[in-house]
Amino acid sequence: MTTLVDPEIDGYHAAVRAALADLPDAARAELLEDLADHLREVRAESEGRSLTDVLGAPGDYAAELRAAAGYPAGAARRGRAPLDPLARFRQRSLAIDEAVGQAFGVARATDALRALGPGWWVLRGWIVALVLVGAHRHAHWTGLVPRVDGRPSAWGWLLGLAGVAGSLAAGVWSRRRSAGTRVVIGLVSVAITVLGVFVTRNLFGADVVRYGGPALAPVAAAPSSAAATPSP
Amino acid sequence: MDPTQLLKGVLDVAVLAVLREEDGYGYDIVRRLRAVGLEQVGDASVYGTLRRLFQGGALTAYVVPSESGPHRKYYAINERGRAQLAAAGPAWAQFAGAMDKLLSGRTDAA
Repeated sequence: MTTLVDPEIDGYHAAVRAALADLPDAARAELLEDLADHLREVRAESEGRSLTDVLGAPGDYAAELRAAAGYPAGAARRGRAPLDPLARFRQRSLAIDEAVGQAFGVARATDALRALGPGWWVLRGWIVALVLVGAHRHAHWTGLVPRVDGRPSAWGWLLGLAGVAGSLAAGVWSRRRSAGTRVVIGLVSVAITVLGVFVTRNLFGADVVRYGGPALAPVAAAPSSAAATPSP
Repeated sequence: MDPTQLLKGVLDVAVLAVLREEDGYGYDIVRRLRAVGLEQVGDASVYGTLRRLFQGGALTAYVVPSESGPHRKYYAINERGRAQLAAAGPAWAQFAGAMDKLLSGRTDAA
């Protein structure tokens, strides 16, 4: 599991690097050489405490490092910090992550979210299956089980289970990918969910109307108008 | 008094002494210093000190591949480091002896 990219380690590393930004490249590279390895070891032994808890703020860590190595105190400590926006964003989101997490009794909120991941993958797969049948022009929205051609059938369950299996595979796969890939997959999932809510809600509305009237034509028309609604 | 302030002046000697026993990598040296009782030693101070001693020619370094993780940079004390440590020994003994006397109020009795 230590081979996974850890956003806390990345964030801490980036902040230390930023605090050493005024040093010549070679000196900075030398000071940062063992840092990722060190942070991983500290994290492995931290028993749920955050890196900042164990090692102090990244800026202080950097100041101690450069002082012990015999480099002059950095410009970053004196005034306007030349902290690049990405490092600042990471530092800030890490602080929020820790603050929210500690309110719930865990080191970081993303730890808790990660633990909930597999449950979300199951739900996501089922929603994808529902969206697939919902997008079908002759589909009937009659419940939480995907139905093919309006009849409850093994195909509906099969479709749902296939969706779940695919989603689980995507989830497991994405955990081994970079943070960027995970963000893209997360955004796609949210988009699918939003789409699913729109499609199913509109179909549900069409269903209610259909019970009031006998016409078949409006039923066929309903999904296409539903499809038109969400787009601005 | 804050022990971290006291440590700063003698960290070079402490790190050299640890490496005289056995070669080690950064975090391993931090652990060994803590194991002998220097619990306040800061991780960053040790890493920085290793860098400075290496730059100053008191240590050599080599990389050890690891099956279960990243490759590690090990440090070893060399001749210059041993000489530095040997010179520090008597200086430290004299300093520590003087401080002992001062703090226990035995300056006149001696």
